[in-house]
Amino acid sequence: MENLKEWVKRISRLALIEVSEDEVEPLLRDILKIIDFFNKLREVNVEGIEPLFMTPREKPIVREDEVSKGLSSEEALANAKETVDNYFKAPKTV
Amino acid sequence: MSRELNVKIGLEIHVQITSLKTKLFCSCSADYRGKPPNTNVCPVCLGLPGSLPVLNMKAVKEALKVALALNSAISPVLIFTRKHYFYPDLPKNYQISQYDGIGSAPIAKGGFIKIYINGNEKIIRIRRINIEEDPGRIVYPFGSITKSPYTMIDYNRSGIALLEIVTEPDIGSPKEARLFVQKLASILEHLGVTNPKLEGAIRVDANVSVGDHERVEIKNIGSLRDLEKALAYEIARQSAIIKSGGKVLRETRHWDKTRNATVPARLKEFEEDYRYFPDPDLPALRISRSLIEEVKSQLPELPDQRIKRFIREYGLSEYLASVLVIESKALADLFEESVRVCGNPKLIASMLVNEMLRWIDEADLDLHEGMKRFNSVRICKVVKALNEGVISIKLLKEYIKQIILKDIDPDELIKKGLTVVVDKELIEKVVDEVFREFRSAVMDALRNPKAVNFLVGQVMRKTRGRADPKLVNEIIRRRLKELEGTR
Amino acid sequence: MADNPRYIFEYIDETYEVIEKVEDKIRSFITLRSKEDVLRDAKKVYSKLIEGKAGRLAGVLIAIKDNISTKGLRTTCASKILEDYIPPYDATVITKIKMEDAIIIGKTNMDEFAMGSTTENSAFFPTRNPWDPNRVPGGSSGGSATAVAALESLTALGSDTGGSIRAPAAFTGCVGLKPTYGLVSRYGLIAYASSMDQIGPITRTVMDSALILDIISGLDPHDATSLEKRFPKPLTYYAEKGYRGDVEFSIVVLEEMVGEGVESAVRSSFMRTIRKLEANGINVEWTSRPIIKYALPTYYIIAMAEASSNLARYDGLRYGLHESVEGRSWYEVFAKVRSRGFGKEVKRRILLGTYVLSAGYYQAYYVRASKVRRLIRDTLNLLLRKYDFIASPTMPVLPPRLGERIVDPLKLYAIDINTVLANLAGLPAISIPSDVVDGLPVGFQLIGNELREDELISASAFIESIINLAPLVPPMVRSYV
Repeated sequence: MENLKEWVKRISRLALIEVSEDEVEPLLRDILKIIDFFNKLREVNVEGIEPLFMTPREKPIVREDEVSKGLSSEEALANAKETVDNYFKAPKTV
Repeated sequence: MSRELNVKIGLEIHVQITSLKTKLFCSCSADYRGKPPNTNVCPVCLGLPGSLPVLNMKAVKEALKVALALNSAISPVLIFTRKHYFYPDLPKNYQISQYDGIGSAPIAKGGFIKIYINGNEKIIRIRRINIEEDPGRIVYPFGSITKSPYTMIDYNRSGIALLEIVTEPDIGSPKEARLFVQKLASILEHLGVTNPKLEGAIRVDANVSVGDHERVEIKNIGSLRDLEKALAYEIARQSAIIKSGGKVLRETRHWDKTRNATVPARLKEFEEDYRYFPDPDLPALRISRSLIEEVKSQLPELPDQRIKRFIREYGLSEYLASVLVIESKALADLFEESVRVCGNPKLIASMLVNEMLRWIDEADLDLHEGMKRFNSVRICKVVKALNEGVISIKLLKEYIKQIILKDIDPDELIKKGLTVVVDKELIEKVVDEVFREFRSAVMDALRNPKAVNFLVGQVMRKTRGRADPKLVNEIIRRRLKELEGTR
Repeated sequence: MADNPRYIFEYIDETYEVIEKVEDKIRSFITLRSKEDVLRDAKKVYSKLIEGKAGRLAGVLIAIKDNISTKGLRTTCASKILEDYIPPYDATVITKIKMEDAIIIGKTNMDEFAMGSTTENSAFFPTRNPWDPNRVPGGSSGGSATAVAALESLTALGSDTGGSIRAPAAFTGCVGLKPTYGLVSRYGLIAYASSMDQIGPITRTVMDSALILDIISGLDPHDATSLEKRFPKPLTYYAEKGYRGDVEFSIVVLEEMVGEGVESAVRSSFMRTIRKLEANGINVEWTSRPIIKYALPTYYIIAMAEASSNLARYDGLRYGLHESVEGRSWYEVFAKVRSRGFGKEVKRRILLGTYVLSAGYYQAYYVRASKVRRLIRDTLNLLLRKYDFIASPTMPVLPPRLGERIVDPLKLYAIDINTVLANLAGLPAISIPSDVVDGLPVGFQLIGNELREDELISASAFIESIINLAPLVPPMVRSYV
């Protein structure tokens, strides 16, 4: 595993969660312990085993292509703290 | 430009499945264009906590149609994947999509589209076809991306069903790219899966590399014209770097319409790691043989087949057949409808391709409007007038022009007298006039038969193109003979 | 209620009296509905009772874990990031219980986003065990369990991803049932780990759980992972069968579930229960399956990965904790919202989940864990073809003191060893109160065959009747009852 500080930076950027300077040490300690714990799975022989991702079902639950009522724009925007002219207000994208 | 250095272009095309009534994973209407913001949403396409996606089965069938038409290998199992990235237009901050790796399978892999370039057939291979959901729309309050201190989001479009079609880098020039996209659009239109004329229905991103150097991704290409320009610019840019001994940076660039150039996209703050894994909310879907057979049996005639049939059945040239079919399915339909009524396929094809399209362009009309004005009824009236000698070929062109530009019925034009003049007496009179005005030309014509055309032209001018050219020719030659005889 | 409809109002009065006396000490609720609101609902139910048109839950007060969406009623997941979120829609289970005229009394406390086993990870306050307020009630559905245990509510709904219904049920002396994965719709359940989450009842008796499950289970067109139920009769019928003793079943015990990591007091109590069963003609056999020792890391890798994905949507733009947007870049705003809004444990799990899904590690962790998951599932299913149930202590320890387990994440995760198996394999499991040791409840767990809740319920009802624990009321509540 790469340099630990770099690791925290990279992962926290991917997860968009800021980790402050003083949080890094204790966080790393716990995380390293947990990763060790995860690594126990290396002891298991998984040769020839398929991962248990969703298996296809006999009768899949799917939808017909028919319109049904959704939310009104009031309901949709009700929980948003900043809106403009019935749009959600959002930060710059560049 | 690309003669010395070998150019490789791959395209990533996102097409909306516009034949659907609802979105991909929820029952909101797929008809989102023009609706007031955030009025076409529900907990699922807004990504509210606790919401769950449920697949629109018709979307799968439409995707299968495309896969079959593109000769792709269809996956026996359809698995949806979560593609993670944060962005304000993505309500869950992941997109439900597919990819090619463990725990996922695109709906189809492989396949190809044939294009015709410089009279030769070229195969452009398809790498894969994915089904995925569209994000919402970002609106920039002050028009430009850079000037706005904030953005506005409308999720009406969020969750619309998309097909992502990725090609191998087989495309060798901007023109080939354009031909490819046109062909693809025609196929989609003939399948009834996508209406290419709808705004935003087809979006293209390109990957360009020159001379086996790094490839550059180009985004934000708004139209076919932009596609050719952007590609041309990018190829030139890369070639220049290479020729001067420099290194091409692997990056993402945007096409800037106002500057007519590709510009570096804002440096991505983070590397792209989508953390794909199979979406646990959507059990895998088995694609059975019988489903594929069912879709196959419902496939309509595809562009290549139709072009071949036009050539065979109607005796059209490859060029005319291709334009009719690829310009728009509706145009090809209009052609066939008209021929069914009044025959004359070659004539009608020529009228549509050589005349109508030109005038539509001049009048800045869209094809649909043009075809309304020059509908099959009027087409057949014009054909009848020509065949009965009421108008000449030259007048026919004038008719089409007027019908398109002014939306006049051919009957009107005939009533107005815009017909061939076959009145011998009248023509004789005009010929007299012309002979008097252009004595030197007459002298020329006596010596040089080719100069007759000038005289004919003058008679036509004086009759405003209506004189029957055959008759005019006859009369002028007789007169010249008479003159000769008197010398 | 059907016999004496007026009782509905008395019952509500009594309930609020208990709440007033006890709630400060245990803090089951994040949002407690006012008595006026509840009485208003009761009046409507009363009219229906009079007309004989009332549903099967008429007059029943039910507490709902705060990760289940209730339209118009604040739903927080015990997180700052959703502190003022008001869902515009009801979860399917809520629609179903409302149709049967249940009355929601409030939203209960939990570990933030269901991540935890003690309800100490709530962003607002911990819930305390009514049997000993210095101890945890278990989690993550702690508040739902304490509400039922302390008689603040007749029943409750919780959710279970790695044991979150069964753990608090065991620690507070309630019955907690996690259905087969897919039997109960997840539509409206705020997701933690989508391939394992299930909603289930927390009640005082097995019969009550059977009734609730009858009502909330079944195919839901809004949830593509939901299943059709195919029990020949309502589950209450099977509960009665069990109470009558009209059952026959076999049990297997796995050494790994009673061995290392299990406190001796818990082990002895479990053995006592097993002997009682044997004395009543139930066949119990013992065996060993070493693979299940890997259940815990398997569970946490998958749960954290799915959680990191499910929690990506919380960026404050459409709902929840907000950061002003003007003039700032999106990644800056998102990062601030998420850093301020998520608690420590949640952040830790998101980071680890992101890691195990990231390029270069996906194969080594998530894919590998999914393979081990298949091995575990197949092992259990094979075992369950031979025996009807796998039995174990629900929890390996007695309810810990507050602060004891939460200092070290691995110490916290360790108490899930017996519960995660059912979630990994998608099997139904139940915890029934089996003993009180040193004044603290102990739970007995049964894991059954997929979609065989009918068998599970009749066996549990039978066991409940033969264990015959005196009415389980925690000391602090006894004086009010």
